Amino acid sequence: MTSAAELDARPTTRSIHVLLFALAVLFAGIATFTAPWISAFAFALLVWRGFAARRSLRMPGRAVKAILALAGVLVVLATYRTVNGAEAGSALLMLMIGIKLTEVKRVRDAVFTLVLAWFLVFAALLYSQEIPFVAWMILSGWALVAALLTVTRNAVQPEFMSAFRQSGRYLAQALPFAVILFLLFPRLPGPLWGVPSPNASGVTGLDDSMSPGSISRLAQSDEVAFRVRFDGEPPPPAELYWRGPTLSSFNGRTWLPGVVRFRGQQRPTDLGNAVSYTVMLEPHQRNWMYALTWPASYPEDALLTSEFLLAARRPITQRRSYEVVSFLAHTLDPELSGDHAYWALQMPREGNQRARELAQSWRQEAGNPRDIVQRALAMFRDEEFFYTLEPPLNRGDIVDDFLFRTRSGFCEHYAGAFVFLMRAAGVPARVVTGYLGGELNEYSNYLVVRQSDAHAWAEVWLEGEGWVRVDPTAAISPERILSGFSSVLNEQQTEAGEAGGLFYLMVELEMRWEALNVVWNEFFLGFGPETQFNLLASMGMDDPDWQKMVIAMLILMTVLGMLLWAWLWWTHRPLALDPALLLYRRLQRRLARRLGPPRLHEGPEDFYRRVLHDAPEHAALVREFIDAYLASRYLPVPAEARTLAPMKRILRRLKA
Amino acid sequence: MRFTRRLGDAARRWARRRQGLDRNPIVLNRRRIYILPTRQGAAFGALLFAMLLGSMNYSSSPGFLLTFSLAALAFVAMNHTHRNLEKLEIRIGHADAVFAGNEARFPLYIHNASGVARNGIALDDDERTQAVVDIAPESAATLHFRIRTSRRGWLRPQRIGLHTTYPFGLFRAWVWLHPEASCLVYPAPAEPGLAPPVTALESGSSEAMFRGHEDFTGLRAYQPGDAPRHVAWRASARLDGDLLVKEFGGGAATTRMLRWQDVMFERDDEARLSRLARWIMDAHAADERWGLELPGVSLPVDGGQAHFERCLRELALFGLPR
Repeated sequence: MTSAAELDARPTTRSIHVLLFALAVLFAGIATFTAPWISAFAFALLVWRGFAARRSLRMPGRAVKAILALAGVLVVLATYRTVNGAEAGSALLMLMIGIKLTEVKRVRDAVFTLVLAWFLVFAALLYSQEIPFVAWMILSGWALVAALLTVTRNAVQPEFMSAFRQSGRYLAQALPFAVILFLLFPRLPGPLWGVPSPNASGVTGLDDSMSPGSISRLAQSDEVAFRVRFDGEPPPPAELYWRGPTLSSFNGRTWLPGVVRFRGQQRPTDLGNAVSYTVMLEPHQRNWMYALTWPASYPEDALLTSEFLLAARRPITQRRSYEVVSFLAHTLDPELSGDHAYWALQMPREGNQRARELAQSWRQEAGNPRDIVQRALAMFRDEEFFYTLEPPLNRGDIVDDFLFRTRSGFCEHYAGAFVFLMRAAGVPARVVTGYLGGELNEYSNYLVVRQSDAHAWAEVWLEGEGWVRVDPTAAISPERILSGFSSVLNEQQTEAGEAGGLFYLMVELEMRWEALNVVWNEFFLGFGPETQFNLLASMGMDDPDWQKMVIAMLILMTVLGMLLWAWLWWTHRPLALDPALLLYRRLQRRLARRLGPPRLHEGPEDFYRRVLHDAPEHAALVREFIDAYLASRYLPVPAEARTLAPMKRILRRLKA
Repeated sequence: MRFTRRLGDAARRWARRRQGLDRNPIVLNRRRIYILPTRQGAAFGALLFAMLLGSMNYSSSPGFLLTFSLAALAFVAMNHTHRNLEKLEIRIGHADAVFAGNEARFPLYIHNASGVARNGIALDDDERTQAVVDIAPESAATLHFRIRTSRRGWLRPQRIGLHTTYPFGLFRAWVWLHPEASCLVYPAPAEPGLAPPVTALESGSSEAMFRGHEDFTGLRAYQPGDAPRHVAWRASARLDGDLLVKEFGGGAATTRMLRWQDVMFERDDEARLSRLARWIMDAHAADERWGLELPGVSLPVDGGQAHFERCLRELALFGLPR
């Protein structure tokens, strides 16, 4: 095929440089998350290729390329221990593009490099979906389109800015089609094949087990766990206990979930104080979906466990948002029966003897379980207990060690020790994990809950009241809080008031940024089957299913396509000729019998010379005509001053 | 490979039957513009498909956005590629006569009457791309379609291709033109060396004899057919590219009759015609006067460019249907 010849052409130095520029923009974005030496490697290859193009250096031989490729793979393996996954994959792809550049000798190689580069954009977007990063990737994509335009055109002197402008114009025309496809292309609820499980390194947050005393330093992560938008007034901060897994089983070191069952749909009648809200949950690879206790209305694909945890049928591997109605006034399990009763009192047979004795003494002294609870909370409040995120390690009997020796820890220590004491005193109790509070954004009435808001508290079962929430950590007196615990209970008053305007400005900017993030997460990143369904339903498509979406998509694409078609027809149409030129052509046709058909290459003056030679009787008139014609066409006269009348008059006279 | 070639040939034959012969001016309309993805376009499509699957698997909204944007870009590019040829107005001229073995150059005048530039318009023969041109809004370009000639007689280009892959090289739109243009191909002149027999020496006047001296009168631009030895090389070197030719005053010094029977020593008719062509060339280059006698054709003694062309035309079409 003939196009093959153009692809075999050597890319010009300038078009190589445009290609390298686009790749540099892309690599700069990728470098924000890859290891610095990998980015440096890739950039070195870019810079070398730029020099090679300018100096027309020889490309390296096969051996050098093989060594470079091998080195690339090894560096990635050494850094990430894998070449799979978005992060390592992006790094490897970036290096491979850099190495591929050393063998870009023809236009076709450059095009192939660009295809790889787009795939890199795609892989990077799997890794990070933050607004600034996505914006940078859009910019990179634009640069790559400009590079494709330049490379395939392969001009000696490509105009760099014009390539950008031109490709921007094409992208602007493509945008409406892209939006339609984005909104209407049917989304599938689940993955087509496996989604890699997150690597276990350093991700903080909520787990389904808890070993207080074995952690000497709790890494605080500011990552967002989920966001909540309340329909109406949010409940008071002290009510915002977002429920996660309940831990009922204690083996002396670690708290684990007990037996979990699913509840039926039955719902007691004494529920009250309904709160309705939407949770936008970040993917966390677990099944649970956070909610306030008692979630009474929730998505169809979720189930409520016997411990009031909302659980999805599949792990949450993608952002999803769900609506929940919770009743904050409720009675959980007024009857405690069967294995629930067993798990609520389960303890190792021995160990932590001093704690057991303390609990026994409370039991003998206090009249009822309520008093036992109060005794325990009073102990945490009045004695020298400290809250810290960097507690000393507990050894041996961890509960005893904590209660009587170290006396400092974070929520897990307090919740664990409290539940142990309760069980030892014969009060059914369990540990509940989840998140406490969150940061209220005043601009859009929603709450950001971060990983650092992860919390553990306790529930005790009291006759007639069911499970009652007790938060032993909150009992510690504020002056003994050494660090962290940025819970709602303390944070509200401290910051405000102290600092001046700049602080407020920063807070305000951060709030606004967060508000933007919510919109981004909810409407863009979280755009999945449910949001698509809701959007289309709200736009008037009743009961949208994939057939209707495809039909609507095709119709809209056709309409848009016809608009594009018509617009291109308009821009590419032959422009109307100058009326003076039309008259001149008429003159030429009129004299054709004498002079032969009009000659394309002939200007008016040459035409006149021919008239003078071959049809001298018309020469005077033609001269006059041509003067008028030239004046109309070429003299700098305002349009309204131009007149065609003399030419028309001469044409009439020629006819006669 | 062979299969695609045969498919291509079949498509060309089909297009020829469908479109018929083209008359100037040829306005490229939608009916005759064909379009297919290029190999890069196919690779791009594969990339899009992979990214679509990936986006679905990871439910990645940015992934979907990227995939759909690129797909939409390809769609828009397809429309632009197709339109890039549309409404171009093409006139194909006759090629100047050449000697067999030389290239016939058919002028292709492409007029873009629209208000947008038509970039990357390529001229193809059946094997390769000969030239690529950008045509600014409301302007025109002239390309030359070149065919290497081998036989004397009339030469018609069977098919002239125009294609474009602008803007992104993802799609290739093309047209096939079947012009009426023709080129007269003179017999290839024989090797120089053998001088024509002096058959008749017309008694020229002394004035004619006098004028026969090659009086250098000036320089003019080179035209096809000028003898190489008249090229003013040194003067030409000062202008880059354009050749200048020395012009001489004066008439012919010698007068010859070039006759068929004088070239019977050549082995066949083609060789004979070549020999005559050589003699005519030499005579013309030397500003001589000559006449030509072929079976059934007799051209009286004359000189000058018109006579030169007339004689060669007789040689070119000798024994061929006119």
